[in-house]
Amino acid sequence: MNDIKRIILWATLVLIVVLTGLSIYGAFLGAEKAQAFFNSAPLALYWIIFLVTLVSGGVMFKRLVRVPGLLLIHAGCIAILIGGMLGSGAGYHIRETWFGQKLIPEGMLAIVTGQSNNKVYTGKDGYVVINGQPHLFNYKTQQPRPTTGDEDIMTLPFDVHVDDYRVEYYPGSLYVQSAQDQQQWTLVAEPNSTYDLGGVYGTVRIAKAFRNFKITIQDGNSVPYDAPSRDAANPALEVYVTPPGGTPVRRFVFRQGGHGDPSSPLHMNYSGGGMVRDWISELRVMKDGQCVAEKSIEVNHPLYYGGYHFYQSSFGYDLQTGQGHTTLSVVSNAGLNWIYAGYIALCLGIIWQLWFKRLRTPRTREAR
Amino acid sequence: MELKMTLQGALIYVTMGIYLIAMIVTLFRRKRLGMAFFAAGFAVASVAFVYRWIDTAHWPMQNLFEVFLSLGMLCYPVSICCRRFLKIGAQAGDMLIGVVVLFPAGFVFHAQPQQLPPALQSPLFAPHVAVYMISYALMFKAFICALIQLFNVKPEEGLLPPEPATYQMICLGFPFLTLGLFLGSWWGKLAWGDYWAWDPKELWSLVSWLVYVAYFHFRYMFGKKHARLNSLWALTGMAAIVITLLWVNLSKLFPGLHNYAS
Repeated sequence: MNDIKRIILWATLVLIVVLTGLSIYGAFLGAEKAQAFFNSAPLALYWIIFLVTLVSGGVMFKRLVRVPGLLLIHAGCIAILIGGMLGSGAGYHIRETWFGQKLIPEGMLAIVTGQSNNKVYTGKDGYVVINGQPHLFNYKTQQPRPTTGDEDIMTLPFDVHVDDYRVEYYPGSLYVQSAQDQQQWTLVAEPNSTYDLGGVYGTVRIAKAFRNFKITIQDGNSVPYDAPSRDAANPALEVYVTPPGGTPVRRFVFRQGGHGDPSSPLHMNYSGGGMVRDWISELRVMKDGQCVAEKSIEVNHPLYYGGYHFYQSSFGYDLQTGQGHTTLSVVSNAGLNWIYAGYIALCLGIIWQLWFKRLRTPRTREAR
Repeated sequence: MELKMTLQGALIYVTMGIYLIAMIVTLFRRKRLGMAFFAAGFAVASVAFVYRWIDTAHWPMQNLFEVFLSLGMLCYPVSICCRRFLKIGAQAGDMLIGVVVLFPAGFVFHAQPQQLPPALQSPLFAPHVAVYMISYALMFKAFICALIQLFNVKPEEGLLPPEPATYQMICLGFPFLTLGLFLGSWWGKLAWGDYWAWDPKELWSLVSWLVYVAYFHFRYMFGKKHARLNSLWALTGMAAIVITLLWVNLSKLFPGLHNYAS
């Protein structure tokens, strides 16, 4: 082995050990500071040296090109480094100053239900809608303030329209116990489900599940409704109990206890309910008045259009106007194809080299 | 520490007991009997795993309790395959691994079934966690082989010496470790918007991956010239894996995206 090869090998080993140390340091910093650290100027220099070492390894070690597994592994690492650089802060800056291509790295897009928006907020504050107007929300003071216009706002070349959004919850459990013989049932509190308890007890129909049960009087009748709230403030079930041959009797069962019905032969308790199963927003992408893409996005299923992924980030009610709004997280996919190509090459290369080549090698040779 | 007075808990404790008997019998050179006990322990561990699966109605690898339960079941098939196909011994070590990995499931972590938060409802969830668990079980065996090398224990007739055995185990486990990292990154992009978020758990999993990358380069450079140093790399890799798996989830030092796993 000549001196240059030896230097490259030692440099590779040192670079790997240094990256290991830096990653441990980064883990102590927490995600946000670690991201800033790994994107800082000294680290940019480190990444460039790493890239140069990988490429020079490919040039100097013929084996890295001739052996398909090793070629895939090292080419994969190079692709991942290039992808990471393209998607970094410096990558966006270079793209804008050298090529005049202005992309939105990531930001928040708040849209009132039934309306469109293309103004993406890229600052560090929260983003909420109050009285139909976008406001910035300071996490430290917990105070919202109206946006002054163009602060940290970037514009998408198309509009995103929210048709509707909804939240789905896991059903809770309805525990039913007979006062007479202590017989018990545990029912899944899915709305519009009916259970036959048999014998003298009849049926139980779960009509509706409330997250924040409130009651109002209309024309002398008490009318229950689900009041808008972020948390499950007062979960309750509307239940109809029908004894054999009798008429249905309406009952409300609250998670926080409350109104029992001592005259009923069945005691009921409600638990669980209110845990979010999914957030869903129905989106349409509009360009020149035409719908060019649409999707019901939910967690793990973002919408992709025009080089951006759109994720469900939060939702809320404007308590003053009663309007709902959805906040989408917008993320550019700059460099993503390089990253995925690199991953695939790396995985295939490692499997090829270690499983099909290494483990296939006669083991007697190893033993010697 | 808590004792689980449930059927689930009983199945775990019975498995641990059988694995322990298997190990003691094996150490007293009754190897066939030891392997019979090991197989019986695996049967009980499988029942515990399937029971958990039915009980929670989802693939039981959501929290650390389920992760360790799965590991306790995996150690037997890994041990058999390694002996049969790779000529790697250290079966008593595999039985010890079984007891060690079931201990947290039996005594440390809570077992209440949980409903999955939205981010975990993904087809990538099961493969991401499963390949990591397989790789950890394999790397644990590499760690045992490295320990045997450091303590100069002679292998059985017809089996590999401990240094190449360590290397073979790492060759077997490393692709799983890489797949786990790749699947996690892909899932992160779909669920959180970033393929890499610099989250402490991500960084520790990168650390464990990098230690083995360094091992491969070191071994390529020096071969078996520094056999003890080769083994020390394998030990360091295992230490990084233990930190990735436990410390990050348990410690309040590293708040991050993977907190639901605690």
